[in-house]
Amino acid sequence: MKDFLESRSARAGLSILGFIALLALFGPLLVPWPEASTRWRDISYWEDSPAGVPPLWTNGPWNGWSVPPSRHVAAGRPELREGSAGSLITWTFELDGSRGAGVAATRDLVFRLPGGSGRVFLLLREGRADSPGRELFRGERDLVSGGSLRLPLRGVSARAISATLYLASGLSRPGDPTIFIVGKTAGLLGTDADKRDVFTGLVLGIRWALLLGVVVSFLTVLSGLLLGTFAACYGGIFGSITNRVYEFFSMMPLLPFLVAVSAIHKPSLWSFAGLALLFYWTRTFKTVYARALQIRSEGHIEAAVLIGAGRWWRVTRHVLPELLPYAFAMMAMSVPGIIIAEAGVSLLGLGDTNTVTWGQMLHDALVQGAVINGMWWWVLPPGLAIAVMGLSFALVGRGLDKVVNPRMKGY
Amino acid sequence: MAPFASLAARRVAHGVAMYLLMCLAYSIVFNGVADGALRARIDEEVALALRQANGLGPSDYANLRTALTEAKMRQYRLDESLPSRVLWRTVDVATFHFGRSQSVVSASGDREVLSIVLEALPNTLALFGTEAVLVMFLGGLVGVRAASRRNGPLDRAASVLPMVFNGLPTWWVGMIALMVFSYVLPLFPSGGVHANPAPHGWAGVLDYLHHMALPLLTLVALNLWNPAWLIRNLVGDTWHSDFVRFARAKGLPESRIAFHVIAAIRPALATMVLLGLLQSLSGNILVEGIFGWPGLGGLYFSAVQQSDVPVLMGVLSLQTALNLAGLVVLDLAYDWLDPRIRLGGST
Repeated sequence: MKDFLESRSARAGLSILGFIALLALFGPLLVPWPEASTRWRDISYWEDSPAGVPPLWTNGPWNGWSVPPSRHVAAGRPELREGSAGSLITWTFELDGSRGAGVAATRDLVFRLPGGSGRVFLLLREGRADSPGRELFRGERDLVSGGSLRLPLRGVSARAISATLYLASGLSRPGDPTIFIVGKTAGLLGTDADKRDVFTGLVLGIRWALLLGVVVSFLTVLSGLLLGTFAACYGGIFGSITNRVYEFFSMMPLLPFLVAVSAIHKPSLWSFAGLALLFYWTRTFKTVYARALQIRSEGHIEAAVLIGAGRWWRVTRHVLPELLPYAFAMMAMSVPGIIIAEAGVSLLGLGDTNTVTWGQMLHDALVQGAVINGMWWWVLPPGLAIAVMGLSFALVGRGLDKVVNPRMKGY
Repeated sequence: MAPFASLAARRVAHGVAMYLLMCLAYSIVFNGVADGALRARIDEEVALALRQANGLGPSDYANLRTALTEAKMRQYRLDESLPSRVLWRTVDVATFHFGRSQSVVSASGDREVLSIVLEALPNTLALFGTEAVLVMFLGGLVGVRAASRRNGPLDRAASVLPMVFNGLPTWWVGMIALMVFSYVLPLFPSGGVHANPAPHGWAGVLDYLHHMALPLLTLVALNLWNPAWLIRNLVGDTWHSDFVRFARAKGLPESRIAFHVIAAIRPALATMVLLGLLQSLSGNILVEGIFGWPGLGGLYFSAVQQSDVPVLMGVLSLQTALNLAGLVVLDLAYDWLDPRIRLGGST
């Protein structure tokens, strides 16, 4: 254990993994779109954002601040005028808060009025309340109680906007409105063609990759370990049947089965996990089998036979404990392969559509032409995330390997 | 020679049995989907026949429809029991009688699955065969160099890069490569094997190579590092073994020692080369799909997309047959390569 913690690769791997695990746990609470995990495919949740725009930080002096950010603008202090029949509330929005915003001569805005209920009269004008300009919207709207009124405004060129609300007496007053400027950049990692925030998807994908990778690799290596050990130590009919089954499944490609299963059932992460378990135990089996055959004929096992140790005792007290460290190394090293396999299956469109996985983000990117249109912010992050997670497990695996294979130490 | 012949016969028989078993598995797994596809086709053919039969009363029409459907069911053997359907499908698939595709069409407009599959095979062999050869060659070079300069820059790269690249999906790197080198910088074509119209003669060969370059470079750049790392360890281990030290003590020149080292690791090298070539037979579904390379993998990719079951079965059974044949050859090749493993001898 000490050797393991002292190896540089293990420490590097564990620290990346720790960071990833923290992100998996707390990330969903920190992302800018908190409901994304349940409403990833709900287009109304994302409707305000611009579609397929690069990240916020691509706006800068290198392109003359020409890709203004998408952002919320809060209303200024409301001016209230009470009358006998009702009240007039006026807000002013200062749109040019940030650098380069003026470059966009015209832009699209989304006006939102939260809460309230009943029928109100609304007037939106360019310019401040004291010097109003062109009218943008005038009309009556029904405020749905508990909902929010949404007005998309196209091609606004003014630096400020004023909104006036006429509220008949007796109606409950809605909350302060906000304006969302639909810019040419958005979010930490931009948006995809369906207006979804790529960064949020990336963070949400961590837990599925981690969960699937760890659970499936643990189960596959464990079953490979047990089957290999018992096949080697018990031999006989059990051994030869296990070897035939191994041969069959190690030759069989996994993908056709997934295709067939997804043609019958809706594909899910769990059917993938089940099939992966059915096929991937073979990756551990042969190594364990060969090693267990060796251990079985070593001196200390023969000695155990001589003093009357039963077969069960020999397997569980001598052979398995010796193989366990190998199994841990294999578990760590098989995680990247499983994550990549899931991503590949999702890329083919056979993934679980109830979850947000990196493979599905890449599938969407591929299908909707992110590669052709050079939308790097959509294609790069999920793959890099897969790579970083794979690397961290590989580093941990190599650290373990150095401990269990002391011969490797010189390298 | 007699023990070798009997061994070979046993290995071939085992391979054939395995092949039949796997075809059976495919036909069980795809049974439901394949039946559905056949039924859809029968409906289509019956509708076509009915359209040609004019001037019938409503009852005649219904009778004709049932008669036609029954005849077609018998023709396609859908009226048989489930086990017998699975069995005849196994036999058909195992003997390469794949029938006609549902939507995928060959370059010559043919719908015969066998010709579609055979058309795709050379492309896969060209791309992945070249890749396997290049990977082995370059991997060997890097491995030997890294082993001879331990802890040098190349050695460090050879130890870190396999870990990095093992966690990278090759198809994702392909997406990036396409985006950068085909769309942003239009250096390489974005898919296919030929420009349209295809040039003839040497220009055609160059055009083919130009189309192959981007997937080939991507694959080689990523896959080179695993064999390099293995060869580095193999050579490194052998270089410090007793017989090499003895040879050096004897005063043999380094070139002769290198010869001894290579002779010692020859079986391991042969396994790597042959397994690499063997894998190249099946191609890669996702990489070929991304690069639009019309090999077996690319064919499978589009067959999945269009859920074309006969094509899926055709690709699978051809890949399985090639794979198993390769494994049998590999097994027998050991017998020649490594005098320490005499399979035909005392087993």
